[in-house]
Amino acid sequence: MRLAVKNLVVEYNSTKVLDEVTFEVLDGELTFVLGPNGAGKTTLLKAISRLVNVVGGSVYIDGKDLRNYSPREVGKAFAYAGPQVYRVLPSTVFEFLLISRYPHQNRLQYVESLDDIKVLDEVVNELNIGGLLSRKLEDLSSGELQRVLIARALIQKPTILLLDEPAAFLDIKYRIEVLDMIKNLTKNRRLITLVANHDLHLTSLYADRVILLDSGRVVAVGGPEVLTKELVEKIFKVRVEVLKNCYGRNLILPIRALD
Amino acid sequence: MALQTYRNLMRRFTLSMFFLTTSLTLLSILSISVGVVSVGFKDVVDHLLGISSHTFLKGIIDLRVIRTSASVLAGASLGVAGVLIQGITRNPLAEPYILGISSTALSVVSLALILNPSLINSRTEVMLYSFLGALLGFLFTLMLSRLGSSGLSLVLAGIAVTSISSGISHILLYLVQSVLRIPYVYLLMGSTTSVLKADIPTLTLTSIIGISASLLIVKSLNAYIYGDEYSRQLGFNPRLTILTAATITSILTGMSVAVVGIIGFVGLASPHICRYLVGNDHRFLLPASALVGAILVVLSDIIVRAISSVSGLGELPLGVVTGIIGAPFLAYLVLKRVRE
Ligand SMILES: Nc1ncnc2c1ncn2[C@@H]1O[C@H](COP(=O)(O)OP(=O)(O)OP(=O)(O)O)[C@@H](O)[C@H]1O
Ligand SMILES: [Mg+2]
Repeated sequence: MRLAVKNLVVEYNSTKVLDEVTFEVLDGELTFVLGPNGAGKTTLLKAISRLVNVVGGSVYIDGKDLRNYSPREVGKAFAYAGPQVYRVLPSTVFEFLLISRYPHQNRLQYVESLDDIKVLDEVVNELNIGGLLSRKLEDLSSGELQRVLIARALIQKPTILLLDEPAAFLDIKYRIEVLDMIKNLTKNRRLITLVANHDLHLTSLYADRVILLDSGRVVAVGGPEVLTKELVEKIFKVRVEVLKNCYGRNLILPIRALD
Repeated sequence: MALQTYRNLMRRFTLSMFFLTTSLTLLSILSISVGVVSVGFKDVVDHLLGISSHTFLKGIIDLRVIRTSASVLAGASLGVAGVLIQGITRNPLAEPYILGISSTALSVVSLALILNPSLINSRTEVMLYSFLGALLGFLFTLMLSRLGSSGLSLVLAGIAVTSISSGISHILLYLVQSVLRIPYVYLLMGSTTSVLKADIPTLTLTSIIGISASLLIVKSLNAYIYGDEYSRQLGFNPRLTILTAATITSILTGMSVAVVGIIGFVGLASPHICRYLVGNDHRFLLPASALVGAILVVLSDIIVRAISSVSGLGELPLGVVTGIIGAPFLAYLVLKRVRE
């Protein structure tokens, strides 16, 4: 499967936030969308899954224009896990997770099938949130909430998984566990996974492919080797060191801010 | 693990519905038996089943059946409307009258009465005006909020419409009173004393249509409450959800205002009682809240008549009783929020 983004343009109040963004990604690859604050990473993920209006350009899945998809088909194909969720109305984690199965159900189906619950159960066990199911969404810690948000996206069983800062609030153990899991899922289930974040080190550890964004433009696309010391220092305005680990991967270590 | 949680949820729903249905049935029978002339439980049941045909009792029972039906239907409508409005505003403190429905209904009715005092003899026409007023208020609110572009804009627009039209309605009602000499507290605070047999079919029809329609959008509401993003990516249109739910709310509330007047707090308290009983999934919350709303209004109507038969004075408006039951509830909710 191939996701192709062509000349995507997004504007907020007639200023361009994404400017002619073009790239292609394949299934089985864990792609990182990298860039400093305000570069347009979140906007890109939302534009791909049609959560924000696109001014120009288009998105193709295996050559089929996304505009030919019905909202329900989009719901089956894409899942976006952002950092935000309204928690003012009371609701439990379990109730929140249940909504993810809706695109797979009949519109008027009133109860979940056994299959729906099984899918939910698998993901819940994988992310170790079984103990949180009956908790109120509003009572969760940031890290617990983050795992619940990722779980919700996975329960939707998408073919294209869009994760916005999935590791921001996770402690080091969960950070490694969750990213390992996402990497394995992507490879084993042949998903197209885009992870947006601004963590240079994490990106260098996990990315199969990198899309580097700056001020709404694509600066570099390719394997992790496109993140050269010069480019990274120019875009992020920090001094970095690039080291090789024992597996031959380049690791990026931030040293200090440049001015 | 998840399966167990799901079963628990279902069990809680089934048990609650059973408990609520039983309570409502018993309360309805009680409501028919309580009053200045009290009728025994057995007589009520016999009459309802058509076994006995005591003519004196029959007259009394028939009147009280009408009152009780009106309470049940108005209560159920308000319970459902409350859940809908809390959902689309994503605000647990919202209640149906927030859409600017009630005071516009009153304004239109009073205006009609001032222009044509003989209208008071035709309840059907008063009801019609009230309902039209409610819909008019809702349309104002909707337009002010730029066609329901968000739940919050809807609330703000509703508050604006309410504050304008409630001032107007008070002045108009005052004028009506001097023309017609009817106590306007009944219109303001709700009462079932003036409900006629002819009102019941209209009330039944709108309640059934409104409540069934609301059951069609439960899933889109479940997705919507977490944010527009969730709604969209699960294949729903958040704008359409807001519009549908707000329209159903205004029809249900408008009709209940037209028939029994304004009964506060039911639309607020009933959803919360049900959140406690069956959780927050709208598939379960809506039917449960219909029952709890009905129970609250029937109970208030019983209390009103009990007080009147003991004191020998006229009946208190329903809104006073629901207010006394509901106010501590609101205080509790607000305090809980503040503490968090
Ligand atoms: N709803 C909006 N209205 C107006 N401007 C917006 C809106 N959302 C985002 N922007 C602007 O668009 C630009 C890109 O925002 P975006 O959220 O995509 O950045 P990001 O790369 O995800 O940043 P971060 O690392 O901080 O999450 C920013 O300048 C932001 O201020
Ligand atoms: Mg972002």
